[in-house]
Amino acid sequence: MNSILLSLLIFFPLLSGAVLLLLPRRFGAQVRMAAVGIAALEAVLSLVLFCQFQAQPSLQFTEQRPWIPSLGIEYHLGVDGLSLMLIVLTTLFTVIAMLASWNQVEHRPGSYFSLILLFEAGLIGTALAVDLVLFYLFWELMLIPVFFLIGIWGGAKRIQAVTKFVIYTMAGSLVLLLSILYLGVQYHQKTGAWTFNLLDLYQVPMGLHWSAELLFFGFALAFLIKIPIFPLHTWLPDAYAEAPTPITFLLSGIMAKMGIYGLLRISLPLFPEVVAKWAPILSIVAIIGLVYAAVTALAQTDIKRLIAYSSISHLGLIALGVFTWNLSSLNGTLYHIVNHAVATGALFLLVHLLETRTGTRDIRELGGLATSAPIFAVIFMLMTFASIGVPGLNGFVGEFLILLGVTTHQPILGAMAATTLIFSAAYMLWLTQRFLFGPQTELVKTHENLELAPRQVLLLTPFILAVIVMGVYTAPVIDRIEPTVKQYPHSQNIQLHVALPGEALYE
Amino acid sequence: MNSALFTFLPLGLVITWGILLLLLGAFLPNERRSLLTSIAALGAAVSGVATLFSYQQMLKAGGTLAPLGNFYVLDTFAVFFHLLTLFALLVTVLISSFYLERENLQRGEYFALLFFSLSGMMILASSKELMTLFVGLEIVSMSVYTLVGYQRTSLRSNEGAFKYFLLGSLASAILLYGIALMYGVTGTTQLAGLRDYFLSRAHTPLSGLAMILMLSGLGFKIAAVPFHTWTPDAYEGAPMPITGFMATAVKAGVFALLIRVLGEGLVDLRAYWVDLIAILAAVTMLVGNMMAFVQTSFKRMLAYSSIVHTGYLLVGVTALSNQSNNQAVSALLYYLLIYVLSSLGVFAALTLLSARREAHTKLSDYAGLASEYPFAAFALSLFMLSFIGVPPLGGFFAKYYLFATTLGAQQVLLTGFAILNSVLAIAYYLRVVTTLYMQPTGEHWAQQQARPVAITAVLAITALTVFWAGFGPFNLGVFPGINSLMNWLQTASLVG
Repeated sequence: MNSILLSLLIFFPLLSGAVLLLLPRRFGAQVRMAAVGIAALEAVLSLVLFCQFQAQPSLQFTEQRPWIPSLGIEYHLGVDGLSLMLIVLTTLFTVIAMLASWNQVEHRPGSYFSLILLFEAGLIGTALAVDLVLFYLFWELMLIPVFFLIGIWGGAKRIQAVTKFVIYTMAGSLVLLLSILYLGVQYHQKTGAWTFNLLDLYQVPMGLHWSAELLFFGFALAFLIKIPIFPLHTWLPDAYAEAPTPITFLLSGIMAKMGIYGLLRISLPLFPEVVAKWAPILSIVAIIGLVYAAVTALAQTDIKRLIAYSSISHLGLIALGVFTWNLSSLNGTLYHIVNHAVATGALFLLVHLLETRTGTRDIRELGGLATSAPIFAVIFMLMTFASIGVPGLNGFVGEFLILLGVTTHQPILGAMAATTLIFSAAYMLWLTQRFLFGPQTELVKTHENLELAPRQVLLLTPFILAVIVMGVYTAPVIDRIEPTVKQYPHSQNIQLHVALPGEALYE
Repeated sequence: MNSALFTFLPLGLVITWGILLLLLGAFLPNERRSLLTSIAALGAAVSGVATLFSYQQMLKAGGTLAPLGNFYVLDTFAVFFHLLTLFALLVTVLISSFYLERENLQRGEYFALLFFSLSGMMILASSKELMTLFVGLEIVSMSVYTLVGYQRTSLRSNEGAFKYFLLGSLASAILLYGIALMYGVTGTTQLAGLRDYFLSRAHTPLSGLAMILMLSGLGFKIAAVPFHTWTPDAYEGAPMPITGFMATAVKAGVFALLIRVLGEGLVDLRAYWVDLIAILAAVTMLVGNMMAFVQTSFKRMLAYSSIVHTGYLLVGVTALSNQSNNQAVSALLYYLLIYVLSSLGVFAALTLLSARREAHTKLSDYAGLASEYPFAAFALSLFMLSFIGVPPLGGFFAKYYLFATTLGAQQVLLTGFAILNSVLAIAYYLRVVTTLYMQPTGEHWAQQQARPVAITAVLAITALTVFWAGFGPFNLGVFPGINSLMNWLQTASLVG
């Protein structure tokens, strides 16, 4: 039973992006128009997928064809609760990123917009691939467009930033490739057949052998770099700061989540015993990273860098949810992926709009913006609250579920992770206090017309709605993720935790 | 016609064409020298068709044609290398026409030497007897020594040729000494005879010495570290198309020899040579990468990058074994195919872009090339990304297949080290792409206008193939696809 919808989701942007990329430079304006149209159609497709998606644990809309039979490589796609939200997020964010950079790209706009389409194809392919080699293929396809997007359209230190970014991620990727190969060889030795199909690989327990531990870290390295987890995060502030802001918006909103997704899709189910053994240490590393990034964020003077560090901090919390690995924390993780994408994404967009008006992102040069741009200030505050986790907004739901899961599992870890609430409030509120309120600086006084234009408010409306609606009405998302999550801890019959009161409370 | 004739038809054609070109070069008036290019290209094409004909005959005869016993055989392995080196020759001829005109170097012996060296390569791929193989290797080497020093007025060209000649002759002597010792131990120079001998008898210190001498000699020829010192100078001094020819056809030919000797003659001594090759591979990759990273000359960087690829290929060589389901040979051939195609493309692009007297071969000269030469920059980036091993380009599948094979042969540590080296290599390959696309355009590009059709065609074909070698795996039914190619390569295994 092959459904063609998922292939369409991948190849529609991939092929049209490739064709648009090859068009001569003089068609820039038309290419831009076409790219946005294609991205919008893609978003509609993904919403079709979202609506037709059944709340059930197994993979849906699967498509399976032989590819390189002699090596057991298949073209195998499928979607379940883990990937569904990522697909929807990707398509919607792509449209928004394109609209946000509509007038901003003067140098070769055609290539810029078609590269975003290729990037989108890589992201969607990564989330849909069920075969490990296919996964790797799309995982790398994600990287190349970003390399050019940052390297050609980025800020002053873009080449340095992008080289660092690519070397970091490629190092992770090549180790990932080695791990995939070695896993295949191990499977071959155990069963006599070649396969890279995840569903088959899940069935062969790897146990707690040293080679399994090595393999786990081989896989995890690539994902932890992409997330990124402290101390593998050093590429991120440079890359995020140098990238054009709509691209930063995509990087933080979607690409970082692919690391989390890789952990959930590949590392955890393949090596449950190893994860169980290493979870405490990994959790502590995640907490250290979370606190470290938060403290570093306090010291930033560049708003974009500050939000970049806050992004590292939030992803530390999400990773902690993954390593804790119970129903509540996984639900929270998947929910918070969306929340973080929405809130941080919106903050990046707001910074982008601010920078295009004032030409600076330096907090010291800005001040008292709330007086001259009240709507901007209101939206910024709303996103700040969502990011901090104020109850009633979406950030709260995710953070609460993760912290609940962590605390029921390990109260001490929970207590340590809860400091994130204090830290994020500290750096975000201090930020808003400095640049939104307080006395107006020269720069703000001399600039007129700092307020958002109506179409920009329109662009931000989906974020405002998401932040509020997802904060009070969680069912549409949770209902679709939960069946997949529920089968997770039990799929390998690993008793990771005794049924804890917290979980009962949650259910 | 009988099958014996078909066995020798391609080789005979290549030699005849070489002599023909030499004579024409002597008798053609100067202003009609450009005719030589067309004749040489025609020769490569005709020999290619002849090879396909003899391949047909070979299939009819059951997979091998060996009218002269083991001295000259035609099997899938040999046909693969014949076609690969012929393609490299064709490309070299095409890009040389532009180059020779620019450098004012048109002379008949240039193409004749190319054809003669190709005849040597065909022997390397086809013979299963050590003395014939040695003769083949010498034919290749002699022609290439001359070609490297072809720019007689250039000091660098002379230096490169001289170093190459001295060290190359030393290597040949060492190799010959190893062959002699091997003959002394076993009483045979046939690869099959060697294999029979070591099946029943133990490895002795003397045969060990013979093996090490042979490996050292071959190490020189494939430019494995620590026998690589001639490579950067020879590659830098040689005319650009010849550098490309050395990095592709010559390297492929010598690897054909190495794979034959280790995979067929000495395969039962695997336990003895496998660690040697592994160490050689590890050192080659590491040193090559480190040296490539510090180069400012693009041409010299490519010389070191070709050393690194020798290292990866040696990693694949460690997987050769006497088991029947061994895929090492097909993995090696696939890697060589992709490597040769992308290198040919790179050198075609460099021939196009460098200026008279080989100016503009520094990497910094290529800053912002993308805005003036978008297609050449795109193709160059594609090749660099393929060298890194970015999917879905051919380089990715080549690496994937090669490393899967070596992992299957339990070379876990070495494969891990090879992956680590692939990470190191990103730094300098990526620098090329950032230079091409992300830096302000150099002023000298505005003046260069020549865009010969032949080189553009070569670039387009190689780029498409490297691209398709990755996408081909989708069985669209339009292209033959990677599957049929891999199945074909698998028939090329040597033993079992």
